[in-house]
Amino acid sequence: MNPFSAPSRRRERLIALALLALFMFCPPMLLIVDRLPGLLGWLPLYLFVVWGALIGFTAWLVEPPKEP
Amino acid sequence: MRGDWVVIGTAFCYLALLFMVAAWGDRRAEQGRSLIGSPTVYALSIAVYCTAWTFYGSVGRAAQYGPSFLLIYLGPTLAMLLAPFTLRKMVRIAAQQRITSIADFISARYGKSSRLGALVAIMALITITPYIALQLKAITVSHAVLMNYPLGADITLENERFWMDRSFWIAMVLAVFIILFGPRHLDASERHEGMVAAIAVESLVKLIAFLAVGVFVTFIMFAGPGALLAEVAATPALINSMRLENVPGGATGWVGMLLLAFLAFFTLPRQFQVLVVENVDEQHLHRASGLFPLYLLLINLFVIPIALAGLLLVEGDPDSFVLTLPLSAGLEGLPLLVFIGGLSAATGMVIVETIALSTMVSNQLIMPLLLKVKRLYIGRHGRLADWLLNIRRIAILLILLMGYLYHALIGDSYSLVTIGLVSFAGVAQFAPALLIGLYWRGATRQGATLGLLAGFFIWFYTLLLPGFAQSGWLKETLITQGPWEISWLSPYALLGLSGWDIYTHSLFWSMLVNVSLLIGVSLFTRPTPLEQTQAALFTEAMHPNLQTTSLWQGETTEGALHALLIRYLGSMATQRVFASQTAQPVTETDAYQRPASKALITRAEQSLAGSLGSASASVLINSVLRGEALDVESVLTILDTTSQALEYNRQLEQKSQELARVGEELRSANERLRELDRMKDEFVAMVSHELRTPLTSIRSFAEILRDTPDIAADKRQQFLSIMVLESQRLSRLIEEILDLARLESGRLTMKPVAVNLTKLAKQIAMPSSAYMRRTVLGLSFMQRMLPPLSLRTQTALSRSLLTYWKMHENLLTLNTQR
Repeated sequence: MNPFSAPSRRRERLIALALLALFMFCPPMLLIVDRLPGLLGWLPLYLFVVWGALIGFTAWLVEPPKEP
Repeated sequence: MRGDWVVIGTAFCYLALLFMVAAWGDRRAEQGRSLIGSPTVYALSIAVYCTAWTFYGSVGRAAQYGPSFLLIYLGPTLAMLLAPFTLRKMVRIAAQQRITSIADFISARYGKSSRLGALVAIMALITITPYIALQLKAITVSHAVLMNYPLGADITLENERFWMDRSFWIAMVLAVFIILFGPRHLDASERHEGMVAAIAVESLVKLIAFLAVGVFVTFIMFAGPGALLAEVAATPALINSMRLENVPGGATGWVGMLLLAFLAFFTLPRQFQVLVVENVDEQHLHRASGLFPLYLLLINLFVIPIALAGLLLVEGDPDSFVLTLPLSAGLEGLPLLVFIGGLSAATGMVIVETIALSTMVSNQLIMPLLLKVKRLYIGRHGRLADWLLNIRRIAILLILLMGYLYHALIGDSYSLVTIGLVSFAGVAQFAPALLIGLYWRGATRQGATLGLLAGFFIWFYTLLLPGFAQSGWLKETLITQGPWEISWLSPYALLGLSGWDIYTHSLFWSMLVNVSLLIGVSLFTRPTPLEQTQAALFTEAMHPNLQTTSLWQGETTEGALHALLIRYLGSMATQRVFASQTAQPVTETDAYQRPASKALITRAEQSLAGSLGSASASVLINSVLRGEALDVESVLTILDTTSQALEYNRQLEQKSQELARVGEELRSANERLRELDRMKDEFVAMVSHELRTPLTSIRSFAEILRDTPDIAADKRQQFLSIMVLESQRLSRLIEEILDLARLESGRLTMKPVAVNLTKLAKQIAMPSSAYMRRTVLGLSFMQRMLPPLSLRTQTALSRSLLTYWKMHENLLTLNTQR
C-alpha cells in the first residue's frame, strides 16, 4: 500500500460510490425492481438493502485505516 | 391516567431536562471540557433534520404515497456521501471568515454584500415560517389526539380564541425556553455547545420513541413482519400501496424529490447551523457521513410497517398513526413516550431554526439598518452588545409568533408533509448561489441576486400561492384555470407543463431560471475587487497555500479600533482581541496614538464579523480607516496564490517531464564520460610509450659511451649528437603534450612555418639508422622515396605526425619479418 495515494484514492472511491448510489436510487433500477414478480412489490426492501449497503461502504471508506 | 396534567407535566419535565442538559453543556464548554467534541454527537445534532414531519408525517406519506417518503432521507444520504468535498469546504470557510449563518455565508461569498445577506434572510424567514408552523401544528395535533382518543383531534381545535389555543401557548413556552438558552453570547460564530448537546439528546429520544412504536406494532400487535405482510397481502386495497405507481409524478417525481431533498439538506438554515456553524472539528464530518445516514435508516425502518398496520387497523388521519396505533391497543405509557418523541422532534427543529433565523434577522436585517442611523455611531460603550442580544431575543419571539399565525390562519388546510415540502423547495433556491459560488469563481453578486429573486418568485407563484388558494384566501380557479383564465400561467402547469407532481414542477422551473440567471448574468457582469477576493477565498478554501492576510491597508490608530470594539462588542470581547496584540500593558494615551497593525485590524474585523455578520463588520472597519481601504497588493497576492493553484497541476506535470528528460541526459552524459575515461587511459599508455623511445636511445648511447672508453672520437661525437637530438625530441614531445592540453582548452595559436620534409625524414631516421642498417630496409630507400618537398605546417605537429607514421610502419614491418 502506498501511503501517498491514500487520500486521493479515498476521494475517487467516495465519488464513485456517490455515483453508484445515485444510479441505484434512480428510475431505471427502480422500474426494474418494481416490475419483479411478487405480490407486494420488492421496492421498499430493495431501497433499504441498498441504503444499508451504502452506509456500510461509506463507513468502510471514510474510517482511517487502523495503525498496526 | 391520561389526564391533561400528566401529559403537560411530562412535557414540562422533559423540557426542564433538556434545559439542564443545555446548561451542563454550556458549563462544560466554559471549563474547556467540551461535551460535543465527538463525531457521534455531531451526527446526532445533524439529525435535527428529522422533525415532527419525519416523526408523524413519514408514516402519513407512506400510507398515501408509498415509498416516496424515503426520498426525503435518501437525498441527505447522498449529500453526506459528498460531505468530504462540499461540507468540509463550507466548514473551513466558515471557520476562516467567522460565518454566522447561511445568509452571512452567501453575503460573504459575494463581496460581503449586505443587500444580498438581507435578501437571503428575508427569503429564509418566508420559507421557514410555514415549517415552524408545521411543528407547532404537530405538537398541538399530537396532544389533541392523545387527549381525545378515540374521538378525532379536530374537535378541540375548532372555534377557540387564540388565548385558548394550545398551539399559541406552546409557541410562547418554546419562545421562552429558546430565549433562555439560545443567544447567550453575542458572538454567533461561537458554538452554542449547550444547544447542540440538547439537540443530540433530543435526537436520541425521538429515535428511541419511534423504534419503540415500530417494535410494538410489528412484533406485538402483529407476530412479526411476516404476519403483517400476510395480512396486507390479504387486503386487496393495500397490495399495490408500496409500488412505484403510488409515487406522485412517477419516475420524474421520484428524481425531483430526490434532488429537492439533496439541495435542501445543504440550505435549510438549521442544517447549515448544525452542519457548518456548530461544527467543532472538520474530521467529524468523515465519521458523520456514515453515522447520520445510519440514523436516518433506523428512524425510517418501521415507517412502512406502521403505515400498513395503521391502514389495516385504525381509521383517521395517517399522520397520527404513530399515536393512534398504540392508543388503539389500550396502552398508556407508550403513547406518552411517542408524544415526547414527537415533542423532541418538533422542539429540536424549532430551537435550532429560530436561533439560526434570529441571528440572520439581527445580523443581516437589523444591524445594517442600525448602522445607517448615524446616531448609533456615537452610542454609549457596550450598549450595542446588549441591544443585539435583545434584538435576537425579540426576533425569536416574533418568529414563533409568525409561525403560530401561519398555523392559525393557513396551516389547517395542509397536511404535514405538504408544508414541509413547500419549505424545502423554497430554501432550495439558495443552493445555486451557495454551491455554484463554492466552486465557480466567476459567479457575481448581480447574478446571484437576480437568480435568487427569480427562483424565489417562481417558487412563490408555483407553490405558495396555490397553497393560499387552497386555504380559501384566493379563488380556486387560480389553480384550475390560471390567473385571468390564462391557462399557460396556471401555477401547477406553467407553460402547459402538466403531469408532473407540484414539487418537481416548481423545482424544475425555479432552478432552471435561478441557475440560468446566476450563470448568465455572472458572465456579463464585472465583480468588484472585494467580490473577486472573497470569491477566490471561497473557491480556493482548501488550497494549502491560501493567504489569509489582512486585506485592509488604510491607517487607523489602536485607540480608534479599541473604541469601535468597545462600542459594539463590549469590554470582554475587546480585551480578547487586544490580548494577543500587546504583551505589556500600555497607557491610554500611548495606545490612542499608536497605528494599528494589519493583523490587529483583521482580528478586529473577524471579531465583529462573528457577532454582527461579515457585511456589517466590513462597513464598521471601513468607518474607522483613513485612506485606501482595500490593500490592492494583498488582494492581488490572494488572487495570485489561487491562480497558482489552477496552474499547479500543469506545472507539476511539466516538472516531472523535465525531470525525466534531465535523467535521460544525465545517463548519456555518464556514458560519454566513461568513454572519455577509457580514451584517456589509452592516451596515457600511448604517450608513455612514446616518451620511452627517445629515452631508451639516449640511455643506450650513454651506456655505450660509458662502457667503451676507447671509442673513436668521431663515433663518440656522433653518439653525443644523437643523444642531444633525442633529448631535444623528448622535450618536443613534452612540448606537444602541452600543446594538446592547450588545444583542448582552446588556447593554442597556430603558427604555420615551412618544413622540409626530406630533412625532417632524415632527422627522424637518424636515431634508428644503426638499427635499420642491420635489417633489409635501408635508409637510402627512404631517401629516394621522399622527394625534397616542403610543407607549410605547424612544425611540431608535422614532425610528430611523421614520427608516428614512421615508427608504426617500421615496427610493424620489423615485427612481421621476424
